[in-house]
Amino acid sequence: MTTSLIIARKEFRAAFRNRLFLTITLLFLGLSILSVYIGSTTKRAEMRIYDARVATLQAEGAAVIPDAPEIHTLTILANLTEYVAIVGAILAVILGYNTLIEEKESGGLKLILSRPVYRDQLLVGKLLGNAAVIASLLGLVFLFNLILLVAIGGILPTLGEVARLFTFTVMALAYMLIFLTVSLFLSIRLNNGATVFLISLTLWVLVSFVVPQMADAMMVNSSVVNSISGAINQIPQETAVSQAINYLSPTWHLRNIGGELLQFTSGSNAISTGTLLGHTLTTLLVLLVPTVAFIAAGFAVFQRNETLVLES
Amino acid sequence: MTATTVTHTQPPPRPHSLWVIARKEISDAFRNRLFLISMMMLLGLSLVAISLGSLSVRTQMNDYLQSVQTLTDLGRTDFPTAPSLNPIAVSKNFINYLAMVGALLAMILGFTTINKEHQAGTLRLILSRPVYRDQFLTGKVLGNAVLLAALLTAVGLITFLAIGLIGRVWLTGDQMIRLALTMGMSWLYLMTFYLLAQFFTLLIPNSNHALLLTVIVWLVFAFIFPQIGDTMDLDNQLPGGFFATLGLDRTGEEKALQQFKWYETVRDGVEELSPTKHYERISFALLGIKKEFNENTWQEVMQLKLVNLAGLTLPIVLLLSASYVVFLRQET
Repeated sequence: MTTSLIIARKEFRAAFRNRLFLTITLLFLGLSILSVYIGSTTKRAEMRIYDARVATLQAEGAAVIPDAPEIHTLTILANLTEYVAIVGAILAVILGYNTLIEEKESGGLKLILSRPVYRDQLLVGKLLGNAAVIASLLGLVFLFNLILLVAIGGILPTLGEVARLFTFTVMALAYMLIFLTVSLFLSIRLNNGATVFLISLTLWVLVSFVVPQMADAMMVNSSVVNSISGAINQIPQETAVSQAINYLSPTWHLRNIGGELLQFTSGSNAISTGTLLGHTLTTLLVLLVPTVAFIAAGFAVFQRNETLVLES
Repeated sequence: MTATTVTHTQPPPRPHSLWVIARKEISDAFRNRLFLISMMMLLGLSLVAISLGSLSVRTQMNDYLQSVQTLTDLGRTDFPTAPSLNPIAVSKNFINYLAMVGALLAMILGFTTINKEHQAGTLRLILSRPVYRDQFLTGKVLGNAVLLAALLTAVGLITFLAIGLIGRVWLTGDQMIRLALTMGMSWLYLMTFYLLAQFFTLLIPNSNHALLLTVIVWLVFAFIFPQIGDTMDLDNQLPGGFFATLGLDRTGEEKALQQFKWYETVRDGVEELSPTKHYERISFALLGIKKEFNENTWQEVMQLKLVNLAGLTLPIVLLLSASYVVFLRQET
């Protein structure tokens, strides 16, 4: 275990010496600030328009007044889900794709394996180190968002809201681990860093955008008549097929649970704590399945690899 | 003592070297497994999107014809008007696939085109032969531009045939021009990302860093800016539209937004920075996905969307110029 921890510590330190990793980390944190600012500005604008509309309708003596838009404290952080899905996933790929390739190319892998280090220890160390980098980063994002809610949004979140945000951060970690383990697995199998990165990127585009787009195509529009203007609005509704397709996408799971936890999905406020807990645990399991599968595949492949070839 | 005159004459560059390089680029691409996988993915996804859209058109047309038949059987003559179905608009997902998978494919091409020469050491070899640097780069750009054009022609043909054969609706002349123009806009869009990847691979000696930087720029311009724009779009906050929920029509919406002019300007500014938004706006207008352009001819749409056309062309000009400046001054 000590060996694994030494490797993990080395991985952790190496990540923070990588300028590109630091650039994308700063981008992630910068987007968090922007997300809170845009979120709070948009919601304030929404409320102003709503209040003006209600005043007009009351002056006109209208019988039906539209419901106030559902705005909760955490709704302001809605964009965080997208940033984890986009920047977070790529950040995990950047961490994972080079894990073994660099050492394969520099000959460091042969050197390490010629020392008393077991292959499983090496892989565990690398996994732990990179997972710790992601966890620290998400911890920073969590703290950052809490401070920003107070500083920019002028809102003091309740304990329940802090717990919701924390749970979302755990979900984000589970989501990012999928992409870390995919790229780690590919870096074990392949010898070219660029190829590993491009394949990981293609997989990310596929599960994060293509699959949800296909599901969108299978949704049906239901017509809803507006009680005030009488106009007909088209609202997309899920179908069994669209839902089945969406289940294949970890990004959809993250967005879905993000909507419920950060309360930006309409009706999320009505979900009971028990139901929310059930949804959270189910999503966590769903998100962990690919990670476990890729770790297992990674170990199976790496343990059987012939890195050290005896030359006659 | 005999005087020897040494004349340094360089053999004139062969006129067809540009085409030789371009042809080699195309044949190389078909040996690149990752490119082939992405290409098959793009063609397959386009086919699925168009087929689903076409089937939906066919179902709706059949429903209409059935109701007309029922009314005829009842001896009625007051038939409802036929549904106005735009078969290409129904298949709008293929535009989204082009924007995502297409851009990825273009980046793979742009990165590989230079990286393969660096890896194999062939760049030095080629440049030690009578091939000018500008010819070399032009040949590469030309080859990949032809390749992307051929790919988009294939997507256009698949669209045309799928709508005709599956949806049983053959596109009119005007619709075919709109489809062709959309493919032209897609080509401009894909060229932007091809040139972006090529530029960074030329500029940065470490190929992995070049690739990562390309992807980061792609993320920012293609995902984050449009996402910020969407979040700032007040109407986008509720399914069915925020203003529609409040019972406000277009005039009411414009009036309400008057007090947030600065906000709308910022939102528009952020979106203008994204080639993806320009591509989406012009192609949605051409294909009639945005219903307000349905009454316009394609010439009118192109005039109305000139800003978006400029927004798609400008990055190409900038990236191409920057690539030449960097490559011509490089000491290989």
